[in-house]
Amino acid sequence: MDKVRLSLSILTIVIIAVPILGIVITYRNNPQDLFIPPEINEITTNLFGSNGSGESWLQTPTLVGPIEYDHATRSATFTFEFKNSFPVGVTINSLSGYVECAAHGVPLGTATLKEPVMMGSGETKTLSIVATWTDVALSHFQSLHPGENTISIDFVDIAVNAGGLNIQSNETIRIDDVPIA
Amino acid sequence: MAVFQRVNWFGFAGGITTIIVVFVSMLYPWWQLTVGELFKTNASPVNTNFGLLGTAFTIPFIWALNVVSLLMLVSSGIVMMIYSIIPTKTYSKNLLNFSYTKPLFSVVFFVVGLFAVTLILQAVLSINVPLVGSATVTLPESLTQGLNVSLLLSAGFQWPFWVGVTAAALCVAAKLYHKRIS
Repeated sequence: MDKVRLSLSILTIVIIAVPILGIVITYRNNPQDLFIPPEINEITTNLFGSNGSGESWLQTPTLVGPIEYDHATRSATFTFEFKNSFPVGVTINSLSGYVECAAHGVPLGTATLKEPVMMGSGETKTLSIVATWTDVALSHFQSLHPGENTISIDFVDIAVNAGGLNIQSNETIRIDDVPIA
Repeated sequence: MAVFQRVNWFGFAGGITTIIVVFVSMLYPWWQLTVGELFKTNASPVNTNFGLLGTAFTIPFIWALNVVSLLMLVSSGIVMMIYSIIPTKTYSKNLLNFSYTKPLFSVVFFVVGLFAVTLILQAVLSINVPLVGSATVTLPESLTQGLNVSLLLSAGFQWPFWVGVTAAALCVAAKLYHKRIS
């Protein structure tokens, strides 16, 4: 029956043509939105730029409170405050980096996140980062910082594992008045 | 009883399975890609959506293709069921030829499409997205403002994909069985 075949052929053409033509006509004034929806630009703006509330989703943690030094373990504990501006919860599984003397560039030890931190959307939490001085660091303090109680340090090669992402930053974070004795 | 002997049961099962595939695929993806807690892709021939940093969105052109696929599969399933209970009519072969290819093409085009997208991502952005399993990829620095960002990608076909494969296989079997009953 040619009528059946013809009907099915017309049905096939209609099924293919109507949605495609419909969407193309709908987006005729903004053809790029056909493939890159506005949500993508919105997310990019919020991530790297400024969102509606005037702040970016990516924010640098702020050092808060005094830096505690433990003589027994030769470690300094830094407390950072960080707001999760992402619209989803994020777990910071690890954060690590190297500590260098800001004045001489001498490696002093490693710094790591004390424990993983789970942060809900919009939540602000404190992150405790512990830096442990090596023997080289102690020698450096005695030889080039005799009599000083504090020095300036640089956090370098900071690596963060959060939300399934590993982020390695080339940025250096300088912290002044770090106790060494 | 003679009527039931004339029914193309492969076609009937294929038609019902095709309709089931459509409904299931609206709710559950055929293939899923996750990037940690931040990004998720749910893909099927009838419903493809993305979730990035808590924002869900679709790509309009892919949405239109999904609608095409949905209508194709629904019409295919209905026509296949009609054919299967009257497989010996003169026009039945037209019904069969219309309906048996659609689920098969859905599966083939879906897999070929996924494969093509992964090849394009590899060629353009040097991002190796696995079709199945996990992989760690490093994003190009041009996308990350100089940061070195690596991601753990996990991807895999979900059970609705295999229901789709079953529907396609039953429809092909209906085509082969048609030669015996016509």
